[in-house]
Amino acid sequence: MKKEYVAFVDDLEKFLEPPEQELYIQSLTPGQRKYEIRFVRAKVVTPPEELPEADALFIKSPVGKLYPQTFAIKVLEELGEFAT
Amino acid sequence: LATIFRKYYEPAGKPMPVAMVLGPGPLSAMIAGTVIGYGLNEVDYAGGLYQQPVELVKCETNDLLVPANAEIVLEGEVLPNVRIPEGPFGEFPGYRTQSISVQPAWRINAITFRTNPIIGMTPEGIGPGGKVGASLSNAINIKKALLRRGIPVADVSIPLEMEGLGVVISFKQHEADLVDRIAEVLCKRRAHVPKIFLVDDDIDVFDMREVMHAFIDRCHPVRGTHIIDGKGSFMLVPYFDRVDRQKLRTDGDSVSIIYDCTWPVGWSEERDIPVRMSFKTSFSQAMQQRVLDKWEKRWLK
Repeated sequence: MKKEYVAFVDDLEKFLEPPEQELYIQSLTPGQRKYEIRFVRAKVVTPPEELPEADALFIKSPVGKLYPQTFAIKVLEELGEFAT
Repeated sequence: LATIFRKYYEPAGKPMPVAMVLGPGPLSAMIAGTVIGYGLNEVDYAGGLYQQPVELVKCETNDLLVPANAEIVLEGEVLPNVRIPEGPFGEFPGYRTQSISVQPAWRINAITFRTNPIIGMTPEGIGPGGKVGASLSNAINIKKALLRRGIPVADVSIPLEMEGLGVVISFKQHEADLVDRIAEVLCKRRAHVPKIFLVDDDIDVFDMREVMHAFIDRCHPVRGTHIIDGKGSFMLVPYFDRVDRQKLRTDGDSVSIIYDCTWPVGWSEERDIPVRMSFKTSFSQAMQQRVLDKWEKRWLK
């Protein structure tokens, strides 16, 4: 079953320019560890049909408004804990 | 709490024990959102409002004390050198203004709770919400700060309608350098209330209709408006753009505005200051009473 994530993006157009992105994603999938946040390198595409096996991603603006497009995300690498 | 963590625990690589109380009782909750000053104990103030000491008990997993009648207590520790993204949140000015930010994280080690706990809450945003205590205590602190500097303050109010970002100050007497002195205290170093309304003491600072009347009728659009460059403000101010927030983050630069709604110092009481016309000021006490008596007898039956 596909997982669902949400991410907050400052400038959507610039964000989608490179072929891969680094971003925080928050899991929306129900489970024991709800809303788990991961820092990842990933490939994000729209429309989602371009990556049919990938998980679903909802993207929100900096102030939390949901962009109307639908996206797919394929996580390529975990970028680790959030230690400074 | 953040200062203690950053100054003592994190440099030593130690986790800081913390407890979060959900449902501590209404007066304790109000005091928790109140600025009472460093070194003072909030629970003493809550006890003062309750007119009896707040009973405390030790946490299960650390030595911190929490209200014995709390509905839910989360016990844990803030982890050194760990940051995770949070937000965006709606905040006290009434808007969600910023994106996620990376902040310290804490690990919960224990949860204790009363059977069938009850949580009272107010949704954050425009309206009274959680800013009642902070508005009240900030107004008191501003009044004390101005009086300490010899400024002839009559009353200070941070009306809830101003969402914590505006303050109304009335004065017992006119002074020529009032705006400069107010700017020095409230804008130059720490502009946490960026809109300041100065009024004469015939205006009730706790009555928003009176305050609006003074602003509209007595504040000259040019001579009564003073823009003050200063330091410090809230990132959460809704009208800040990205450049404003960056300047605030890097240099602490901010800007305030003082609306001087007092009659000018040089105006003569006899010749210049307009006479206020209203039911209460235009008729004798006896006439007012006669009208009120008839009003009740004839029209309010």
